[in-house]
Amino acid sequence: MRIKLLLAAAIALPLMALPALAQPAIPVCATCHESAQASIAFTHHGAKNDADGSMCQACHGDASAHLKDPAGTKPANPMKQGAPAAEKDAVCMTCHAGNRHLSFWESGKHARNDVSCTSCHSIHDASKNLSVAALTTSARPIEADTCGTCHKQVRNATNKQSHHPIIEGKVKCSDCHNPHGAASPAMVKHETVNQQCFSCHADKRGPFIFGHPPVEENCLSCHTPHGSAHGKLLNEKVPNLCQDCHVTGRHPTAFYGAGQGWNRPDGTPNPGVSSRFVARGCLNCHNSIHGSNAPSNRGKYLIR
Amino acid sequence: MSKKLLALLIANLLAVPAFAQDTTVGGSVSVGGMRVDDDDAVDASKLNEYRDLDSGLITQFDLRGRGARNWFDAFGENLGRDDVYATVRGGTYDVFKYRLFTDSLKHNFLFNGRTPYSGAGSALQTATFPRLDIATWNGIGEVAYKRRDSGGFFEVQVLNPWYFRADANQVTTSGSKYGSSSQGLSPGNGFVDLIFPVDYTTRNTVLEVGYNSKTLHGALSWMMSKFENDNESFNWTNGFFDNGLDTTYQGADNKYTRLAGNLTFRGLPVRSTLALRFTRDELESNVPLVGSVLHTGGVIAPTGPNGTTFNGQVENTTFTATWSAAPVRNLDLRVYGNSYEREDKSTHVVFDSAIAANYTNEPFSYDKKNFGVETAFRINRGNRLGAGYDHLETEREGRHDYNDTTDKRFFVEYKNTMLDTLAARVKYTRLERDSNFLLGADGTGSGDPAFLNRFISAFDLSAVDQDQVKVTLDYSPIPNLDLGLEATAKRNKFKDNILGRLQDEREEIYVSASYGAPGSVRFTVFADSERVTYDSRHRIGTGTAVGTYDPFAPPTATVYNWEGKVKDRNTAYGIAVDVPAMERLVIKAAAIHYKGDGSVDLSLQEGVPASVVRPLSIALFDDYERTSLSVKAIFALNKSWSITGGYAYEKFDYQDEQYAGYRYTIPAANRADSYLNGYYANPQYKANIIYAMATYRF
Repeated sequence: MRIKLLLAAAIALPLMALPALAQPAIPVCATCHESAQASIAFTHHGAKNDADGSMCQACHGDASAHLKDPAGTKPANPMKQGAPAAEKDAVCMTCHAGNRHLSFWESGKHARNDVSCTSCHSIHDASKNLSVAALTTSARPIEADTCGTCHKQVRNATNKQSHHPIIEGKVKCSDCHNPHGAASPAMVKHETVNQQCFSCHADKRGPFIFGHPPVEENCLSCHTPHGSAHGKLLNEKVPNLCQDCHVTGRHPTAFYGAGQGWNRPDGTPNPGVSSRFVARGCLNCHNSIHGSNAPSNRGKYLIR
Repeated sequence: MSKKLLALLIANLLAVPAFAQDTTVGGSVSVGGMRVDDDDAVDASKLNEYRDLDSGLITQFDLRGRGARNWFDAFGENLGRDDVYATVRGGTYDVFKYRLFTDSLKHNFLFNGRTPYSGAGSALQTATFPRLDIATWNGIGEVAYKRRDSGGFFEVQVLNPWYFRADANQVTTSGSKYGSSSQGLSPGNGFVDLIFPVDYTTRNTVLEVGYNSKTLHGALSWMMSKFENDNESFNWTNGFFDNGLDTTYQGADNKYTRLAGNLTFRGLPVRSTLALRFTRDELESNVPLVGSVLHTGGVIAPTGPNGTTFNGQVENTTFTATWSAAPVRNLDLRVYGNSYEREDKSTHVVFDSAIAANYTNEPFSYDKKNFGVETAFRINRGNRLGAGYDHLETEREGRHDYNDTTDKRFFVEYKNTMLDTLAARVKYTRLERDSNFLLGADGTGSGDPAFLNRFISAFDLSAVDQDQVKVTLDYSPIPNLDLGLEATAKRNKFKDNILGRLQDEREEIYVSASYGAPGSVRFTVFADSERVTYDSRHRIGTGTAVGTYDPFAPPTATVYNWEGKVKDRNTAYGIAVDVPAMERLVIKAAAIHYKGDGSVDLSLQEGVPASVVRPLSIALFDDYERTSLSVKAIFALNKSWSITGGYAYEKFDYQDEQYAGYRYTIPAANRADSYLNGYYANPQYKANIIYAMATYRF
């Protein structure tokens, strides 16, 4: 019901504005640069423009001489291709320095590595990056297509069999990272990795009666955030991942190999199948791996 | 939440006519249909993991209005489907802005599974065991939960440079997910797959007030996030414990509150910026201490807790300071310091009874102090040299194996942009971690099981030397053509580890090419290759004989070391093309192929007697191939109408020794049978998808 109300409102809200249409001012720049004007007409830049092309000149420089002698004089255009990133950014910051998302711009890795605003934001062409991905049911631009042009390892990870729904358009890079700068490692939005993960995975927040200290300190000890060949975004497959720490006593010390599956390697049924190897390995029993509120040894061993 | 959203909506509905006088509106509405053929798939949940690919109606709308003072955007897609998304946002420039949204996602885990239980996915799941004849089991239509995130924000900007912002959203997650449980307390007692009920609600509210000018940013925010779980526990029949009702516990209700403040000063001397941030948060979760459990023979046995309630409380305090400066020409400098303090004030709990003596929890706290410096010197316009050092000291309480660690990280970096068409960067990073191991003197001798603890090192905190080299190249040989390369080699050597993970290595190379001249063909193509290995050593052996727990002792037929080498190899290649085939026809196509190839080599310590059965290496370990193809054509009938038609093909193959020959039961003596539900038994699928849409633009 709530969704229906929201949808109805979402449709009704803009439709109510339809009767009152009026043409905005056409900047003088559009006389020659028609496609450039068309590309920003429906953006905030275009909406704030005026007949003098003040928004055009805000980025491309004073055009008064250019208007008098279009062929002979060009604006300084600090946004031209090849201009240093810092010079381009300074133009954007003229207006956007007060943006709350840019509080940590100078502290962030992008600013320090010559990533300019225009590396990601295409002012005159919204569809800059092609999406090399499987069919998605979303028509919205996939943010990862932009980020993935530089972060190729991440682009690769998002296509692995286990991944956050990034290429499906349900999780955006900016849900976890602040590309405009943050003081945190990897520019994550929250102060620590775990707090970032818990902002969605609130059921894992705890505190639990019985915790799992590596989990409480860093989710990334076991998980990788963008995508993995292994289920549940695990760095390594279970049981091997668990055995890399749990070498002590009883069954964690045993090796689990191909001879312990339902079938022997030759395809014949195996009467000695190991419940610690097949299916999800250790997690068949230790399901509450993130912490448990179960009593006694049930909770201590994270099995209930 | 709905009342808040409705209030906002109504307020904005009233406001729109007032500021719509100078607004230009444009947009589009699309309606069409989709037909999906995945009939060959036994379990198509992987195909539908995050997408609603059911055959049926597909819709989309996109409205935008712009005026000199006001603006709004409205967008929606997949209306009526599981992955519906809709948003409306707008405002008056420099006065206020707002956004309302709803975003749904269905996470599918398993289709067409089966279970011996009645009431799968509910709070009470019952069966009578043994029940090894799967013909008598119940079918499970789907194991999935639906996540719906609805909310919005409202920001007042009219008091610029002051602003006030309120964000609120509610996330509801309902359905089920897969899980399992041991039956007894030993893996020899078997396990059961269970369908966990999921019914979560998380409500988040953030209030923020700030001051933003070109030289000063300041903000103070307060956040509260309340998580509610309608199924903090659920019951299921435990066949091993004589068909008694057992209990599994899930995440309990919790409340998270955070106060955060940040200040940024720009335009300071030596062209510097100082950024400060402080947060203090508290997480609470209170649960009753359960006084009895199902035990052997189906009896209910006491657990002997030392109280009635667990008061979970964790507080985090963080402080960050960063000073970025350009003290001399061509030199960039960044100096920073961070402090993270986690204090676990949760109840200290002891369960002590006849069935299980003295099980205590270990509240986990830490204090991290971090500082570092990074510099970059521009030798000239085309050459930049960078270097940095990062130091992290961590003190922990609540871990039995390690308390203190010191991480020292160095990096040097060189970037060359001498050619306008080429940017090259090489970066070397080294991490050295020293750890204070607490178990180095455990055990009285090599026949004491505790002696083994001396050699067990958890890789997340053990001492490590890490080396990483990364190279990136970006080359534009001709206008509109970009070639890219990223290559990384990384090694973690756990220098003090005798048992556990010894080393891991990673080699990655990614290449890509993109071409995009305005109005002509555009394409992107890439090829990736990754290789990852993990080396580990372990020790088998029980008893009290001398040497049993000493990994340096000579091997015997019952006591010896073994080693594993896990290998993951991934390759991927793909292409996407946009072709303006005719004046009114655009064709877009994408194809991607991804292959994962995992294996494990297992070997015994040299000298292990021949009578010991050798482990069989695993050849198929998360081996998979996915091929995806997508083609669509967009034909413009006129300025207002266009038609889109598309076809997509996907194929997923999966092979793994853990699932090969999958059976729903593992029979065992003494009621220790295991029962499975088919999760990941049949993840492979092949799908053909066609769709068409008509779009009206205005």
